[in-house]
Amino acid sequence: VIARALRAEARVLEEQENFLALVSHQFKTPLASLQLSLETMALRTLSAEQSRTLIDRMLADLARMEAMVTQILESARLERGRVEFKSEPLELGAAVARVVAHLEERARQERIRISCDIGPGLFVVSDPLALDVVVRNILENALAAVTPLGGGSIALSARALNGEVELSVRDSGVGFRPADGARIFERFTRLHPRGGGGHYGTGLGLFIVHRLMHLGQGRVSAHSEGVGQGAHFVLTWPAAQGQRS
Amino acid sequence: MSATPSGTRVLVVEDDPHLAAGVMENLRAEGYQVSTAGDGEQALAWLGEQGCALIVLDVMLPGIDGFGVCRTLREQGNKHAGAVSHRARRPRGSRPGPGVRW
Repeated sequence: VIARALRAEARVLEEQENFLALVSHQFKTPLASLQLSLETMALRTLSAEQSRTLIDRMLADLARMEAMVTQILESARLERGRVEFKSEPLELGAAVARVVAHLEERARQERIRISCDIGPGLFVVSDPLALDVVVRNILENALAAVTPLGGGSIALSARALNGEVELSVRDSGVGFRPADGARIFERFTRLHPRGGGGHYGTGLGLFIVHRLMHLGQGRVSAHSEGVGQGAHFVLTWPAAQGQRS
Repeated sequence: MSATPSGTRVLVVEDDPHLAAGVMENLRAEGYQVSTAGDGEQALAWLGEQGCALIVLDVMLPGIDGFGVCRTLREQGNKHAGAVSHRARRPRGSRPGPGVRW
């Protein structure tokens, strides 16, 4: 028993060390980019247009680091189990509509059509914040997958099924190799580091989705026929009692 | 690498679009003729068709990493290009090998 406990502790320590190494490396990229932009501005004579490009680049690098800090804190809290997970009946359609409204502007700019076919009366049991984070991360992932193709579509639909509620998110994006369907939810897995044009993945979004779904007795799976074939994410929550279906 | 940058061809291999653009713009401002590749496979495909005097190579790349690119180039007998790693994460105990500088 003691040997097993020691092995488990060693594994946790090793994972933490790996986590730190990975986190540090993730930060080095936007930091290197910031440094390069600033040094370029300091050492070269630039046109107003060139300066503007560099300033926009630096602002995007900062936004990227800020998003990473938020997600790292979120995932660290999840890892330590320090999440107070509420279980309440929540209307899926309303939660999805809020996130979609938030992302619509960006989708329009990238020529991505988001269609949403979720009827009223579908209630899931989840934590309101967790539900919001999960839907947002899944949709942001879909946007990042479609953006490099210069436009496309994201289709959301939902149905009640055997005491559960299933949300289906299909995108016409870059897809992935079918064998990567499980790996995509691991920490810092970025199957398309260049994916998303101006949008940067932190490699934490889908990891957080996976953890939050499991905390709430739900599931998530990812499917794709292959690179360039789009992707299909399916999220399943327990249905709230007394639901009309 | 020739002493004058004017027209000298450089390939920048970097998977981060901001870094790739920044390195490319600075090299262009110095008069180099710069192309970019987003991963090792793209770099090898590009190098299969054309030559360059210098490769600025990121080590952590998706797919074939920077070491893999160097190894493949050496195996192909490609000796004309020098490779410089511009932001290496040096794996423990690794040696850069001939033609590669940290």
